[in-house]
Amino acid sequence: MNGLPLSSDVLRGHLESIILTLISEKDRYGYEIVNEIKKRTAGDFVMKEATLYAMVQRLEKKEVITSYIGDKSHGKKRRYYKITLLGKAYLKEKKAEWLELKDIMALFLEANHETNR
Amino acid sequence: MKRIDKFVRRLYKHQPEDHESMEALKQMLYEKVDDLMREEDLSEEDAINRTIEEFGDEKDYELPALEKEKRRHRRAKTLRHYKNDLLFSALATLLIASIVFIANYALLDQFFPWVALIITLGVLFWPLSILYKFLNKKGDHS
Repeated sequence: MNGLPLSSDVLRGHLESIILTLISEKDRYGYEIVNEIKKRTAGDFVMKEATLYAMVQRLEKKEVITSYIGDKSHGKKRRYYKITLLGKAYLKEKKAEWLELKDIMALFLEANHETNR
Repeated sequence: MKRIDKFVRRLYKHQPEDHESMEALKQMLYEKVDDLMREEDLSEEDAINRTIEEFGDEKDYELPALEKEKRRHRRAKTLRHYKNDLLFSALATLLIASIVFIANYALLDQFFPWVALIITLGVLFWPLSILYKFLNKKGDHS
């Protein structure tokens, strides 16, 4: 990925899916999620803790994730987030939605690209 | 970590009773401070500085409850101001109307009720316009 780092605004509709995907892989705590996103996008997208906090609050309210206090090796206690059964179904739905959206966008943007050549 | 506590309390100044959310946010920030100290070898002070600096601004946190509470607080304040303006203008109108009637009655030989009434109606537009604004604002739930 190249160019300027993306802001949360561009990805706003997909932040839930990103967070849920990471939590579905394994239980994670807040800063771990932020770090993992930064690592996987090679710094192109850095989620602010403020955004993450707002998102996990929303996801907990929707009951798609739960949290518990656990221990980190050589560290203090952490609040880990865990995906629920409802969350897994929700994520599956989000993934299907994304694939559909991707196809629609490709249909327009790639077609436009062809005509500009 | 007192600075983190203070920072979170400031963020929740419009919602000081929401202890549960405040504790959850504090916990998330403590975790980052701890990670920065362990993994990047920062001093506690530097880790706290970075955590606060990187937290983000209003557009990032859009904490739904917090934003809603802030808007509610601002709206209540505006309505309170309108209420005060309305009370002041109504009392002032009453006073002006009384002076006009008394002056008309006491100072002139002949009573001109229509003149006094027209002046009173003219002054009445002041509280009426404030009442209009107040009701408009009250009905606006956006």
